[in-house]
Amino acid sequence: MNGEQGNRDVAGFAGSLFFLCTGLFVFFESLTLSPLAAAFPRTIGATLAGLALLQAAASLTGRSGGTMETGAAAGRHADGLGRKLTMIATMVGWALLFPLVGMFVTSLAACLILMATGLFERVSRGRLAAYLAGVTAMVAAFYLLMSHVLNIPLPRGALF
Amino acid sequence: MAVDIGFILSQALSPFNLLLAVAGVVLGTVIGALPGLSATMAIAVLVPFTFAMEPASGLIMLGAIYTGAIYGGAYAAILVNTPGTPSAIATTFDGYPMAKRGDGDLAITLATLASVFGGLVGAVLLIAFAPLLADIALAFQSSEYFWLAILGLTLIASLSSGNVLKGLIGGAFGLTLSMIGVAVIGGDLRFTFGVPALLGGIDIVAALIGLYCIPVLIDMVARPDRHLEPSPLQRGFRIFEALGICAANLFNLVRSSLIGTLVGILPGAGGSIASLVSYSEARRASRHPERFGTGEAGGVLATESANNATVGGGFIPTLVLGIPGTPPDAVILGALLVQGIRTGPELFSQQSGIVYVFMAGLVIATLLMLPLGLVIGRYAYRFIANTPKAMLVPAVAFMTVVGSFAIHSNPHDVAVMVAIGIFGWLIGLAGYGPSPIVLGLVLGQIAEQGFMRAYMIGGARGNFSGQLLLDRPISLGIFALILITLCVPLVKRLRAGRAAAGGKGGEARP
Amino acid sequence: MLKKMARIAALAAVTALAGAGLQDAAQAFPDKPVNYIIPFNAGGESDISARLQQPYFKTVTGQDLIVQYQPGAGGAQAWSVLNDQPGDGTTIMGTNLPHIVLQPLLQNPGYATDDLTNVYMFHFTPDALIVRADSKFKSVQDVIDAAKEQPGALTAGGSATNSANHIANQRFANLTGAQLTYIPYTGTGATIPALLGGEVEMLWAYTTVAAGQGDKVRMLAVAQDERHPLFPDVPTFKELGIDMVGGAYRGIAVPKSTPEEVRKELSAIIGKINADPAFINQMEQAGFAMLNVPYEGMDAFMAERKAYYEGIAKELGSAK
Repeated sequence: MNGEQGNRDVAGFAGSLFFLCTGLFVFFESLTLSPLAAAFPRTIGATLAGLALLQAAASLTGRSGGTMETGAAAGRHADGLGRKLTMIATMVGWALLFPLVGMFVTSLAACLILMATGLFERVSRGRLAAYLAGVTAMVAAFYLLMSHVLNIPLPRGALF
Repeated sequence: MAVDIGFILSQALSPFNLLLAVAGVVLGTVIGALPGLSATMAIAVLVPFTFAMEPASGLIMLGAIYTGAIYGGAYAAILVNTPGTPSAIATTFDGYPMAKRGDGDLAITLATLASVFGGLVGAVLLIAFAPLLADIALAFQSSEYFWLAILGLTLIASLSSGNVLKGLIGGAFGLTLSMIGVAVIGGDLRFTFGVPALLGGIDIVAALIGLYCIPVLIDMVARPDRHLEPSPLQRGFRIFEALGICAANLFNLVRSSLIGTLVGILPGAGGSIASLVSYSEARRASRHPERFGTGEAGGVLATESANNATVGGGFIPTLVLGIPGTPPDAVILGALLVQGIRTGPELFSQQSGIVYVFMAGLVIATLLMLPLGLVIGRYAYRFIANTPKAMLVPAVAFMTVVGSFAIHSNPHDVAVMVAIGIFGWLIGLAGYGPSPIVLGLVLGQIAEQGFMRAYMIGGARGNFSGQLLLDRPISLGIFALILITLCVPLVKRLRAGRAAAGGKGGEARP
Repeated sequence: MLKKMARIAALAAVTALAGAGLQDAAQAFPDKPVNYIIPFNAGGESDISARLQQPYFKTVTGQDLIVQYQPGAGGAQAWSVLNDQPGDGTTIMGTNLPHIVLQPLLQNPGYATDDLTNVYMFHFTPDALIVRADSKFKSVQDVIDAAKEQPGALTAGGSATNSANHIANQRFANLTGAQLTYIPYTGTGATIPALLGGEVEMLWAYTTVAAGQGDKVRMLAVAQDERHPLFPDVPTFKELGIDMVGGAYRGIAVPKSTPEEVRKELSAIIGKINADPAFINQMEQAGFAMLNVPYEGMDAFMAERKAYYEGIAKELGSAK
């Protein structure tokens, strides 16, 4: 990640490089498609690459302009890096493991990890027990709602 | 109308049917509020139960769930910044900023009032003019859908006032994502990298959940402060304040409801386009367009009235032409078929009893949303604002996983959701917002297919430009709207620039 | 070891849940509710026919038929995981022709046609050439004449590329020499406004579309052996000297692990439903054409259809 505080356009530049590559890839891939399927990708790929090139230039010359909606997050991204990484790792693990291990067990484990990640202050033992019970009950309730009321075939996997 | 109104009302207002309507609205609201669970799913699950009921009761319940689910999408949009349904995408733009600053109760009351208003406009137009309005569905053809999608895409420019270039890049990237999978026109495999799971493309709802929810979750665990500002005072429903805002925005409400009904009539457009277009129009007509996106009440009113108006609008082609206006309409149409009810213009003249009971039920369900929505909304806001993060984070995360799985009962959608979500967070650091990407993804296929079909048909008839634009008055009308949307801000900026030119050159930046 | 124990535990839980059903089970199969996975969205023709079958399944077997949806990639998403489902007869899945032949032929959808164990094919929606009621085309011959005058100038809408409709268009061109420009739409539902609104001159669609649209459309011919009971005045293509019989076929399949006797039982149950006069009447009123290909006759049927589609797919020019 290009998150260095020194030059605030570095992140924007890295982003535009990524979009430039995507645009070029889409453009050149479209050359192998049938004419009817290729028209749209070719146009969009070229547009994306062109815009990204402009943006890259703007980022380097310091004319990048303000940030957008969520851009405000960029300034404080250094806060709670450990927690953020835990969150990302948990979500990735969850998505990859639940078809193999089973929806219920994976979700319960992931929810407990995230509960711990969301705990900021010391809590009393009673409170902690209440949280644990709450998370377990929530997972169980939604699991039953999905599988038995809405008839969604949830993966059982190796465990449950 | 040679229909016995007394009989219809006594049917629709029977205690059992009223009870069903209440249950339907509550259930629908809850399901709509949970990302990934859709009105289509709720209706499909309940269809077999309705076979055991009187046809009228069954239909009233289905209609109530549908209305409630479209309305419920606003909750997640306002309180968690995640649209519960695609039709609530635009509600996040202003609803979440309002909740963030402590006006969540007001935002929900506004969304409720707007939904009821829009729902009533749609239902009344359905009852009064359905056979007439159904022809609109036939006047919109491929080229009109193409221009409608372009009109939706122009919203990118207004959404990204800080940096139009980055907004456009995001939009183009969203369009790129929309191409993944089997091309409907041409039949080629595009950008699937040999992965069978990508044949069906990137699911819009999965992408929506990922792009909006994952960054919120990551931000939530990063800092110990509260997710939402709780209401500083016990201000109740703030209903009089909300009614005042509605009165000031009456024109906005009427316009958005009409746009919603109109777009609802178009099969293949749906609530997401209706709310985006009416948001864009509300912003353009506003005296303070710069306030949109920062918690402007008018934005919430526009999107929520428009998406609930699509409910009534969508039933117009469904009941008159037998062409479902939206996916939930398709399920209800199937239920009607199984019950032996034939759709078509004669439905309104011959078997009219049941149709009018159903439409009366829709009006009743919409009205019920007012008290039920205000009560649910009040507690939902307090609940979300007061739930400790240790509970809120796992709950929201669990909903994203289960919700994205539930769309197609497919684990790949969950993987796509997480991957796109993390990607969305990363590019958020570089200043790219999620909304342009979502717009591109939602509108990409409509734009591409509309254009390519006009191209093929124009080619066959030897008149491409006529087929695409010149011979089609509605297309020309939408095209004019696009030009106005794009040019008015430019002109304004030029004027402002000329006025400031005396002081300093170029445009002022904060 | 742990895995095995968990499996046993899960199995025990499932059996316990189904316990109520076991007590009054008069039949060996099915002794619990059967999950019926539709690989398409709710509201489509596959769904409607499943909904119509639902009550009869209950009468015939005493068990519930639970309809579930697993849409995606034109059905491929569900078909590619069919063999991972439990093979005890409690999971069945709808299958559609020509989809399950064409998809593996043209792409890599994650399954092969022979991976699917089809148990019964119960109906088909015959291809039909449909125009607006006020169209100048009164017969198939009118269309052929107009198309020969200006090849490619007439447009015919249909659902998707390389689909049953696309095949019908190609077959029609091969047999009559009439070149129509085929315009693909997303699904049959989207083609109807295109026809009624005048964007395309005609549709390659099914008898069900004509049944749903009533007197707003005119069907010029149907691709059946005999005329459809709902449309006694509409000729078949065969009567007109055009050898077209086909459409979109629907049936059910089971996971590969399902034992032989369960497959036969299921085939018998569906056969019983398909023979019920009330059911036949409901299906035909909606425009479906009945078909009876039981498990025993499936291999021959599939072999014949595969040969047919493979030939056409080569002409569409995109077969691997």
